[in-house]
Amino acid sequence: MKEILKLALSLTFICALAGAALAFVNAKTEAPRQAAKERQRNEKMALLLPRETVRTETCGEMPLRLEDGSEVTFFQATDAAGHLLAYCAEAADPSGFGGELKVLVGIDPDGTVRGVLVTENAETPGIGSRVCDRTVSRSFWDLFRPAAASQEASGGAYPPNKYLDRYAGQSLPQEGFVLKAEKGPGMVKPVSGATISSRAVVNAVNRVCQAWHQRKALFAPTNDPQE
Amino acid sequence: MLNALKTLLNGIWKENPVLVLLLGMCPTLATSSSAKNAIYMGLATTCVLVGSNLVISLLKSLIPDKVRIPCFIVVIATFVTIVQFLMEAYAPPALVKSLGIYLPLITVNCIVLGRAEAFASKHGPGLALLDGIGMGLGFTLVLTLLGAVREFIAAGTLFELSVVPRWQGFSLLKFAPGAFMVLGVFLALLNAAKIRAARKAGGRYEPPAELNCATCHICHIKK
Repeated sequence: MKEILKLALSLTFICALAGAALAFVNAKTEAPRQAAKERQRNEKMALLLPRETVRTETCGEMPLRLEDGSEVTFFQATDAAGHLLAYCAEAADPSGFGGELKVLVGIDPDGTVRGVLVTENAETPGIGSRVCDRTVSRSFWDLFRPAAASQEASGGAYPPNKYLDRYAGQSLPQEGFVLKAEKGPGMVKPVSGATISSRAVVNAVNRVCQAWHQRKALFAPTNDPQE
Repeated sequence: MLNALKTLLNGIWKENPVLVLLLGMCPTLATSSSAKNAIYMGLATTCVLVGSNLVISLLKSLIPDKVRIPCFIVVIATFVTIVQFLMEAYAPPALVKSLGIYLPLITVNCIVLGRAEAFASKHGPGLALLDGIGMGLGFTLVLTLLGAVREFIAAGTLFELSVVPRWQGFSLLKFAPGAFMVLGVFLALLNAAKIRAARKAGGRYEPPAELNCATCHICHIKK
């Protein structure tokens, strides 16, 4: 009996110490962690929004809940004078090959897609990730050619992705129209060998589209608050 | 001083956790798909290993033998969570993202538990700290080497920089089977080198007695 008490007490003591340490670190890092998350999303959004953007904020009460229970968040970008420049929408789809996949879509006020980024994915590296990645492939030998490296860095915009770039410049489809990852007019051709990942991206974009039509009032023709 | 140096180098070479002790195979195979992933995973593990070794060595007189494993796990899990919080707050986001799923798995990395059990719970805090650094660096070095070889053969790149333009690519090495193969080649080379060295010295290669299962007392429970 005495031994059991001793074991229980020492284990309790160590767990209490661990708990206290965790509570302390959690409290100390909560704000910086939140800030880091926000900064990360803002950096991603900045790639999709016009250069003049000064402020990005959520449009009214977000996120929007769709019929299937998924959520879409819209952000609006305004310039220094408060004029609306573009929107950004974040949506997720659970049907990726490695689980959930998150997509960020930049949209002009008239409904034209500015660009698509995959912000979170767990697709197979080298296969499904070809659908999601926007990475510059730099050569090892470039390191010894400083001119080439700096030229690349000043290029500005995000690196290309054959699949995701098929969305850019298209307008969001009409209400009720569902985009599919297949060949054909008005559809988005998937990447061969990565059909499932391509489909997941299309699903997420469809959600953005659905939410866009659902809350059309929010995105009514550009009327600037200042004018 | 000599003892300290020996403890430090022990983990890097003589008792390298991956190549000699064959501990932590799961993260070794899973996170060595590229040199960059491998080096980050190695460094994160090193942080946890150093912290847990130090704390366990300080608390060793408080921890009763019968509940030592739960106590070790609590300490290790605490360090993993702290490292995760700190990285989320202050490390570059790209780094956190690429380690995302691997970070919490450090808790069940048997190198960390193994060193707590075999070393930290039996030595003072100074030596335990050095052992943590040595083992962590040994793990990081082998992991990075493994990652570099796999990445190079699979994609012709090193640290995501392409070295051989228009490399055909050999995706098998990106996945677990390829990891087993490369690790197997590493182990074979190490053994070949050891046997050769033993022959040159005029003897036959014998594995060190303390690494032999028949004489191992790592898991021995004191009565």
